Amino acid sequence: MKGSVVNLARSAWKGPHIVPLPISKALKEKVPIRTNARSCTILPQFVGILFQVHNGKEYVSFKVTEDMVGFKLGEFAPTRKRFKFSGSGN
Amino acid sequence: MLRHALLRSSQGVARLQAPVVSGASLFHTSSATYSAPMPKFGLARRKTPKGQKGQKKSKVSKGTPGNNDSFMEYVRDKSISLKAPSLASDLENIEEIVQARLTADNKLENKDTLPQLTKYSDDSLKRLHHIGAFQKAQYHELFREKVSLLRQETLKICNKLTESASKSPKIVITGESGIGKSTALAQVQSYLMSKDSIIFHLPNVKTIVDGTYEFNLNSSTNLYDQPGLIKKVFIKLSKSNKELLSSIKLSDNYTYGTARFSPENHSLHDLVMLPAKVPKNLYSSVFNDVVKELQKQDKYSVYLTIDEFNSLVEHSGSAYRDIDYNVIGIDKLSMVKFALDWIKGAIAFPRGGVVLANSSNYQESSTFKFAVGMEPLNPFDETLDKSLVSYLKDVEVVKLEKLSREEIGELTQWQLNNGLIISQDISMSEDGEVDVQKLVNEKYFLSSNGNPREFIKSCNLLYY
Amino acid sequence: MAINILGKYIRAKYLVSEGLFKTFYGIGPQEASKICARVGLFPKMRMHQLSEQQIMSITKELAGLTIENEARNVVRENIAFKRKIGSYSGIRHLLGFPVHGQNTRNNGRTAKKLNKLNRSG
Repeated sequence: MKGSVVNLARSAWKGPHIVPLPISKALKEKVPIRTNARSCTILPQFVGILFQVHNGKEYVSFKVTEDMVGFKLGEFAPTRKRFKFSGSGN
Repeated sequence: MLRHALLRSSQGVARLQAPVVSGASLFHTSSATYSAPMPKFGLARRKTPKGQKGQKKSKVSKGTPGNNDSFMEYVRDKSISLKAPSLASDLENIEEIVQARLTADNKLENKDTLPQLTKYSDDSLKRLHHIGAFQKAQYHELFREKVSLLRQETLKICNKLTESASKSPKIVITGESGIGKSTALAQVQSYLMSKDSIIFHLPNVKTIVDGTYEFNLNSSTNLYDQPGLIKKVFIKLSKSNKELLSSIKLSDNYTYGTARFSPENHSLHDLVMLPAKVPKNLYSSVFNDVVKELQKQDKYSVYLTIDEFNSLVEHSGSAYRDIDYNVIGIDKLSMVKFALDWIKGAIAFPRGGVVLANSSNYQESSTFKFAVGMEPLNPFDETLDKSLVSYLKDVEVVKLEKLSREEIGELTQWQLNNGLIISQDISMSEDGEVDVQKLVNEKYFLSSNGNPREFIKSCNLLYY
Repeated sequence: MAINILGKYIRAKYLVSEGLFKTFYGIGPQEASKICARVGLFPKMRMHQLSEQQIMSITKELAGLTIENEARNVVRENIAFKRKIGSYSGIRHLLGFPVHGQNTRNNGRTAKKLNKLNRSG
């Protein structure tokens, strides 16, 4: 778990920001969790679950690994595209 | 009048170029100079050479009114004190006056002639210079001789010190900025010197605790020694008390490394001189032996004097850190501990005392104020240092008060007689006489109701 | 005149603690004064006042700390880790953009200069 991410952003006494999600169901049935809760802290229980996180337009899917614990769900669903010049149009 | 007009007409330019001229004419002794033609510095203004934009900035910044620093910079820059007239030649020696007053029957009650302008005797002046009694921001240094004002409080302190020398009185001089604390201390020192006493002066006490000197832990005493400081203190001690120390014979044999001292061949002065043979790590034991010798002798009284004392006890911790990065308390430094022990009474001399003076450049900490009884105990004060309080308990406070209107009047008259007040400030009555009463009232007001430094400034420095 | 500590030249007129934290990457004012306290130097000591033995013991203290390239490597590893898991700040480092939500329409020069996967400073 990345201690600094939690400690710097949030008071320690509050603990991690937990959002109720159907974890057990996802683990049992191997279905992805589709959610808009970008600010939910990734807990150790989430490891191995497929998440579909809203980026404002669509749902970005990624699988949670052990390294991601302590980050927020939204950090892995970028909300902006990089601007590129295309040949036709602008 | 002519001068006034000239100054007015060329006011703008005069600000840039005038300081030299006005500085030199600051201390005219005769009014004749004023009517002499002045150099027309205002009219012949040099054009700035090509490529050089604007005038070169003068070293002396004008500063804000009442800014002491810029004025002192100005005084040093132009070495005004060298141009100043000799005023002290007809003044009396301060030591003689104090002596006469203290032995007189009516003693302190007689206020007729105080405050009185005095000078120091040549001998004590030299010794005062050696111990560094004169500070940069003391205005009597404008004069060639150190002229100072003898006041009631100085007599009071001198009386206390001489009356109960065997009880070793402890006195701290306090008061507002510019009231004359350091001057009072110098006066007391000079009086004590004339009474054949050894002055143990700690110079620049702030540097003892702010980490300027090398330090090492003395395992036998569990205190931190500062060899460089001991050397410096000894230099001051030996220079300012040379004859007295030379007349004290050692009572024992001392050996430090290859350096040997014996009662037959050496006096205490030789020990204090700290020859190069003495290794640095033994300085502290030399110091202890010197103190022991001073305690054994019964010839002279020994006085501890410290200026800017409140800077020493401003905080209970020093800037030094031990190996574990803990702050070293000031009472863990051997020199501070020695001074505090003396003040407390743990170290005693056959005769003597302690005279301390505070400085307005540093805060008087709440610990200090509570310890000497200037303030009641504040139970919520977390900075209060109880161990420090126990050291300072017995210290008696002498607060310097402002001068009264009559005293300011006397001083104004003296300044006027010596031509130290510039003519444009003086309002004349119709028949050409100086309106002294009006002038005195003016000066009393300008000196914030009797502050000596502000008074001297208002008399001599309005020019600036 | 300069004093050589660990192959770096430090101005002789600097305070010892000042010289240490200005010279070595990975040492701040606090750590520098801690080193001085451990070696037993007084706070206002200057570089030119150091004896050979004191320089040796300072060198010994420095050897036990994560400084210079080691400290830089720690930063690089952290950035590489964020890039590896694909987090937002990792992506921003990759693109050379500011990480903490600053605007990029104008300015952002520091980020463009420094934010790289193989960060140098």
